[in-house]
Amino acid sequence: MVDLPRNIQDTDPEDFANELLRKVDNSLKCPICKAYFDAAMYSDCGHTFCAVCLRESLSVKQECPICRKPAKELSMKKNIMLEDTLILWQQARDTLLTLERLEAAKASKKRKRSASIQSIESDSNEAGPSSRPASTTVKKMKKRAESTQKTGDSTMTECPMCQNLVVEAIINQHIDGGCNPENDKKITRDSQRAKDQWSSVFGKSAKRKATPVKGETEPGTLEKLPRGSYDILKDKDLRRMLKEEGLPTDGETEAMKSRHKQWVIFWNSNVDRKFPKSRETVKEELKKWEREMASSRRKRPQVNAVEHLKHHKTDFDKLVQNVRSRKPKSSAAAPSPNEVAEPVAPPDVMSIDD
Amino acid sequence: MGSIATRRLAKELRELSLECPTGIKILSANDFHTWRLSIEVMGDSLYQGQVFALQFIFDAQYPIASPEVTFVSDEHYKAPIHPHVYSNGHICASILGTEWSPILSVAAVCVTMQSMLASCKKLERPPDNDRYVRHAPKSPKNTRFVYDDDTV
Ligand SMILES: [Zn+2]
Ligand SMILES: [Zn+2]
Ligand SMILES: [Zn+2]
Repeated sequence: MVDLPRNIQDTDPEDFANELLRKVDNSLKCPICKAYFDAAMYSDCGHTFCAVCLRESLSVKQECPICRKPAKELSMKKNIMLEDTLILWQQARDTLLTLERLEAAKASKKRKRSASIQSIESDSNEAGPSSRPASTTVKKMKKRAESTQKTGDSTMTECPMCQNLVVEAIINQHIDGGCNPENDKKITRDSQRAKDQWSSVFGKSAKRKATPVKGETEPGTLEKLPRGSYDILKDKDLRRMLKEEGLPTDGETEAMKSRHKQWVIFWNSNVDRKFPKSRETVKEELKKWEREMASSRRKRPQVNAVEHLKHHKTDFDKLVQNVRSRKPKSSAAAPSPNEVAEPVAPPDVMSIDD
Repeated sequence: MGSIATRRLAKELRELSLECPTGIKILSANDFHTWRLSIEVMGDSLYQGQVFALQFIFDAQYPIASPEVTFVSDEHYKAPIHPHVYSNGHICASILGTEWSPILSVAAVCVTMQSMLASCKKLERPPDNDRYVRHAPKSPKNTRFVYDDDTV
């Protein structure tokens, strides 16, 4: 058996059992990060991603990640309708999930009922010994009916399995759940939630806030940043640019470059949000990103590729020759529904990445 | 590990745990850094009855950056003999390099490897195998492979 990392449950809320609902739900998630769209944006082809996911992808390769049509950051556009749909969907989603669960519970109740009728019938028909003789079962059923009593709003009944008093409406789920009182609490919560959800869908609380909450900025007041021409920038230019943005100016040239680059991606994607976050919040995200990148690099020490190349240059030249003359090759086809149309332009040399 | 990487991998792992593509099984996935999956080619192929293991190493930039994927070559598993697979387990496949797309996934890579093996017509190593293996960097991501675009 595979041990799942402990946090796996909290990283993804439960999905729909219904396949169609699951598909609808997934269609509102970004194909790159698999989370709900955060500032949905598309390029010329129309495929939609989060602003930050598409920007990061285009910073590596200027093509749509799905259909591989050429795509540029400058041609990115907001998918406003999709974002509105997403907000509504997220409101309806909890309701649908709860309804789905109640529906399933109802179905299992029906099954349970017909099953217990059958068991009574077969018990009374059978002459031989049975684990639970008919008379006992019938007595228990009777007793259960008699012991039914009111407690507050809910009718209580005695569970034929554990003899505890259980809310009648959930007795079958209670038995299904192995007579676990914790499980009972959850079932009761769910049915209460369903009631609340409906009232929120129809009531005034269903309206999305029109004003930004704490940590969000008034939309339409923020400006995007141009991307630096990082290759020609000197350290002092980089430091000035970082200072202008109120960012730290420590570290090597490369660290400063990637910090500014990522800031531009994060900031511009923030401007694309319907409700942009505050500058401080985005700064926090950048700080977190830098920490994560650093710890990931520590985990996987990079081979000193330049050194490697120097030492084995001649070997590699031969290797290039060899590879070039190689014919019987196939590039494994990506199992994407949209096959790559144009042939891959192979790099000129076989070399070591730096 | 990046938060997007973690969320994506959690989701992928959840889906793989529920249902793996035919012939693919999770061997180990105890963190979001290294996973191993076994792959078997279904149907008629030169690799009938053989089981291989693929190792995935993810960094914080996954899925924007491709995972490092190699065939495991140790006392339990051997890299398949295939014109695109070096004996050290490095794979010359465009989707692991220049043709990587962030919408691809662990499952997609496994299925692609299956079909790469399934379509193999002759059991042989890449012609430059010995030389490559002698000088190969530890991670194949540090090799810039040249891909022929002939389709099999
Ligand atoms: Zn995304
Ligand atoms: Zn597209
Ligand atoms: Zn009970």
